[in-house]
Amino acid sequence: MNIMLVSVTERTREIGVRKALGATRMNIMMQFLIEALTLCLLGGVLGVLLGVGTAVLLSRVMHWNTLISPMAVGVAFAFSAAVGLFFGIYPARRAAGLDPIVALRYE
Amino acid sequence: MLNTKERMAMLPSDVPRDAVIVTRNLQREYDMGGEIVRALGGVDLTIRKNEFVAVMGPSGSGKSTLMNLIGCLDSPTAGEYWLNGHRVSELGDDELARIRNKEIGFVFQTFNLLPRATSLHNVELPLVYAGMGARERREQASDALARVGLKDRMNHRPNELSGGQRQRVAIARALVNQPSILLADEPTGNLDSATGEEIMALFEALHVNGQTIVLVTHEHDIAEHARRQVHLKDGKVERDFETTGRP
Repeated sequence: MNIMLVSVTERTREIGVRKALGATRMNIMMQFLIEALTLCLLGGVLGVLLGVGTAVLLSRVMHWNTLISPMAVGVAFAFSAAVGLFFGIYPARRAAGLDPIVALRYE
Repeated sequence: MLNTKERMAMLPSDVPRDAVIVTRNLQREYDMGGEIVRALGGVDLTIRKNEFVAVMGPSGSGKSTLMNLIGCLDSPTAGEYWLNGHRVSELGDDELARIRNKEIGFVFQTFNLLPRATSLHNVELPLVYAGMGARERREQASDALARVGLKDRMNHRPNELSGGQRQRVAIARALVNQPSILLADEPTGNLDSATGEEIMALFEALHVNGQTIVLVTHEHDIAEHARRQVHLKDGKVERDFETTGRP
């Protein structure tokens, strides 16, 4: 959530500009939410790739028996999406609620 | 949804039919920690289609407050405001966003382009919020860039452009939705005087082509390009007169 909050602060002016150009609260909210989700899903993909990679490596090199359960992959994905949504909502709401005049004047 | 003609019929009867901006006793007060500060104390202003107006005044005169209200970024404490027949003083957040998108083209002192986006993408942005499809958006954005003489800079990012070019991109972005007013806040404030003159020449050309322009500035040289000057002092209109513009 901190990363997303920093992103809201850093991009205050951008939010002001977007609002001046006609973005509604909903537009801004969706933009930040989608960014948070994308970030977390990307993390999910990386995590799954790393997991699968390690499993394959272990079975090749150490001759261990590994099993990749689709269930585990699914749960991992769902979890990162949930994290994205959960920790994305507050910063997104804050971004959407900014007063365009204040946001535009932000240095 | 009313059309423009029907909306115009609902304006006060003493207002000319081609009025784009009409304010009546427009007031804005701020609450500064319990103390009420009156930034705008009742402004009556009528601006007609194709006027080129400079709003002038020292800092603290209420010029920024008036600009924010005209730009639908803020709502008045009292009084009324019609923009192109829309009774703006009564609208909520989302409706104001839609009015800003359709009726107003902003040009800022600091350009306010998105740094990571190309000129084309910057100019497309208002059309994105208008809900236009990608191909049409591209077409209209590149037309707008051509109008400001930057057709060959479409794929450049702001940091690859000069200050004057950046302001041109911002003007293209302001024009792309064919707004009823172009609202420019100290548009030459961050430019050297030669580049500033180029930007003012562009405004004059737009004015000649029928664009209504409201220019907020504290510089007399810049205001002289306009055809009418409205001077504010202490939150009220002090003087309002027509000029010939600069020859």
